[in-house]
Formats: sequence, C-alpha cells, structure tokens
Amino acid sequence: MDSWETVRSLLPGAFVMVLNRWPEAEEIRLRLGRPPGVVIAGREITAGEEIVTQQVLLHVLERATGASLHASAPALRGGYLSFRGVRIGVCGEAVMSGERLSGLRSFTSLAIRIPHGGVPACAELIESLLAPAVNSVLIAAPPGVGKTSFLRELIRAAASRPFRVAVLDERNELSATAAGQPGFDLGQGSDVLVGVEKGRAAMMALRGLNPEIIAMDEITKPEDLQAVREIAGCGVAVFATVHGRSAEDMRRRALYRDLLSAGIFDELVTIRLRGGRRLYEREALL
Amino acid sequence: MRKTLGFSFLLLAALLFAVERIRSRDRQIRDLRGFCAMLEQLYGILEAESPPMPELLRTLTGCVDGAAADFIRTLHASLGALGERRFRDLWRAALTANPISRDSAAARELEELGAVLGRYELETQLAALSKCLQALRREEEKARQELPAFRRLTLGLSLAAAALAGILLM
Repeated sequence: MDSWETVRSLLPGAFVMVLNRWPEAEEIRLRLGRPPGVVIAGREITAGEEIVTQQVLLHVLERATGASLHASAPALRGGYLSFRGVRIGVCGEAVMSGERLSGLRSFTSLAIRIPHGGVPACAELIESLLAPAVNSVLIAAPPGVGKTSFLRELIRAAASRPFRVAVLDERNELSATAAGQPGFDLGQGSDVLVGVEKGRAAMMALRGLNPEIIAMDEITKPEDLQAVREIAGCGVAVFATVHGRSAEDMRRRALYRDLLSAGIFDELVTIRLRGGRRLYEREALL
Repeated sequence: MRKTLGFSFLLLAALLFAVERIRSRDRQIRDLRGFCAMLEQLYGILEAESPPMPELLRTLTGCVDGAAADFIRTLHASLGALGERRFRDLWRAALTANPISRDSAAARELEELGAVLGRYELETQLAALSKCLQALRREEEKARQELPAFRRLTLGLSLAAAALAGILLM
C-alpha cells in the first residue's frame, strides 16, 4: 500500500473523493468546522466544501489507532500519531493527570502528512555522500519539507551497496512497519528497530547488529544527542535529521550547537522549498 | 381413561412450557452476570495497561465464559474488518450475534458502549464502561429479585391454563 493509499484508507469516503483531485498533496489539514485543506509545495489551499466534523476527526483517529486511542496516549502527548509511515499531527484539549499531560481529547484538528516514496532529484547528491567513503550526514530542514524522505533514500542507497545500516525507527515513520512487514523498502542491508526510544535502540543496535551506519530521524532532545555521541564514539557513521534551515540557524539553539560542535557529522544537507521546488545544499562540517 | 390421559398431556405440556420459560430467564440472568464480569475485566485491563484493542480482546477471551466469551470471540474475529467498518458497527454486529436481553436499557447501554471504546481517551472510555456496568448490574439485580415471583407466576399460569383447557375440552 503506497502512502497516498494509506492516507485514503484513513479518510471517510466523502473526503477521499474530494482529495483524489489533489494527488500531488503533501499534507492534508482537517480542522473542525471547516472544509479540508491540502498543502502543495508548501502552500495550503481549501479542497472542496465538505465540512470537517468531530465524527470525521474521530473516524481518522479510530483508523489510525486501530480503535485503540487509549494505547496511543504516549504518542498523543508528543502531539502526533504515526500510521504506516504517515504522520498525523493532532490538536485538541489537554487531559491532565495532576500536573502531567496524560493525553488529548475534544480534537480540533489533524494534519496528515503524506510521505513521498522517492526523491529522484537528489540521487547524485546521495551517491556523493556515500562514496568514496561513507560519511556521517546530518539533514536539516523546516517541518514538512522532506527530511524523512531524504533520509529514507539515503538509507536505501547505503543499504543497497550494501552497508549494514541499523535504522532506529522510534516513530515508525522511516520503515512504516506493520505486522513485521516494512511499508518502505530500506534496502538489502538494513535492520530496523521500531518503536524503541533512540538511546536504548542505539545500544541495542551497537551490541547486537554490528552496524556500519546507524540512521535515526529527528534529534530533538539531549538524550538523542547522547545516543549520537555513543554511536560516533564506537566508530559507526550516523545519518540523522534535525529541524533547522541552515548551520547558522541551528547554532542559535543550545542542543544543535552542541550537536554541531561535537564534531560527529562530516556533512550537512539542508533542504528548502523555493517556487514549489525542493533545493538540496551540501556543506562540509569537518 | 382417554380424558385422564389427555388431561395429563395438557398438564405436562404446560409444565414443560413453564420450565423452558424459567430456564430462559435463568440463562438471561447468567448472561447478564457474564457480561458484567466481562466489563469488569475490561475496565481493569484498560485502566491498568491500556493495551491496543486486539490484545485487549485476546486477553479477555481467556478471562470470561458463556455468552460474554462468545461475544468477545466474535468481536475479536471481526477486527480484521476494522477500517472498512467502524468499531461500533463490529461491536453491534457481535452483540446481535450474541444478544443479552433485547430492548432493555442495559442492552441499549451496552450497544452504545461500542461507540466510545477505542475511540476516545482513556477517562471517557472508563466512564462509559462504568455507566454501562451499572446499568447491567441493575438489570441483573432486578431480574434476579423477580425470578422467584416469575417462577411462581409462570408455573401457576401455565398449569391454570392447562387445567382450564382440560375442563373446557371435557
């Protein structure tokens, strides 16, 4: 099932018919009391006149969680769910357990991001990152621009050479594994750990998988940075993504300043949208 | 002799009818009790572990018996259709295949529970479970209290009807 098909399986019939008119959509926005929006090349447009109701939002969430919204509370606390590689950002009213956020309810909007199967425009760039020797690569871009898709392509290319690539897929967005079957082909030499927190997964991979490369999506907290340090300290190359527009932009934040100054990554690839097209830039960090 | 035999058959038929009605009411009370036990288990597992629905139902099948177990098994087997059909529809279909008391407040409450389970956050699900459980317990308690009177009434009416029919025929 491709990504668009997966998204279609989440939506009620009336919305599928409307959204079929926008196959190039990168994101679908469902806001309570409004018609749906689709994001194309970074710009949002209104799609159809069908109004999003609470039942529509609940319908999507029921399908995305397999009628197990209660079991998705930890993910909801992070603001989104993952369903077969599709990320669903969730807005609603906080459910507090004392001082602690325990979940969300009375949902008000959903942002369904449609992953792209391939990034053919950057095949040359990917090749150059893997030869003559494999480099540690950091991929930076604002949300929704294609970091995960690029990382997935990089993993597939590396694992097809074949390097041994351990994929720490904490949110199941890189592999979209369901019932043990990956939704995306990550190449012959890839080993995927799904749903394990990055720090723990890194240790598991280092001890058990003898990887040449470890890949992970979205470094967002000090524990993730620590995991990257552990991996690099073992002589294993790292592929990772971060939110940011450029090295300069990243240096404004303490976590990423530490990440860049740690001397772990050889290359920084930044992705940005211009005129509806993605531009990839490579910068040597070491 | 023939009249006595006919009268005896009438009485026997009435007795069998009464016994069957009483057994059916007994079964209904047992089923209600089974569903109460199932909902209690469901509440406990949800509150303690919040497992995904397939795991939750799989665990439940080993904890309950009778009609409630048949209901859970039917529901669990139908989970493959989730996506094409809503969970509440699967729940309703499993209830239709394994009914408790028809047209009662508890049956309606149980049916409505399917619209909440798995669809809302944990607190809302637990509140709906609690409400449904109370309705089922009330119905079970009421049915249990009424059972002796129901037995007497059913037996008495059946035998009286048989006697009356016998007298009229003679």
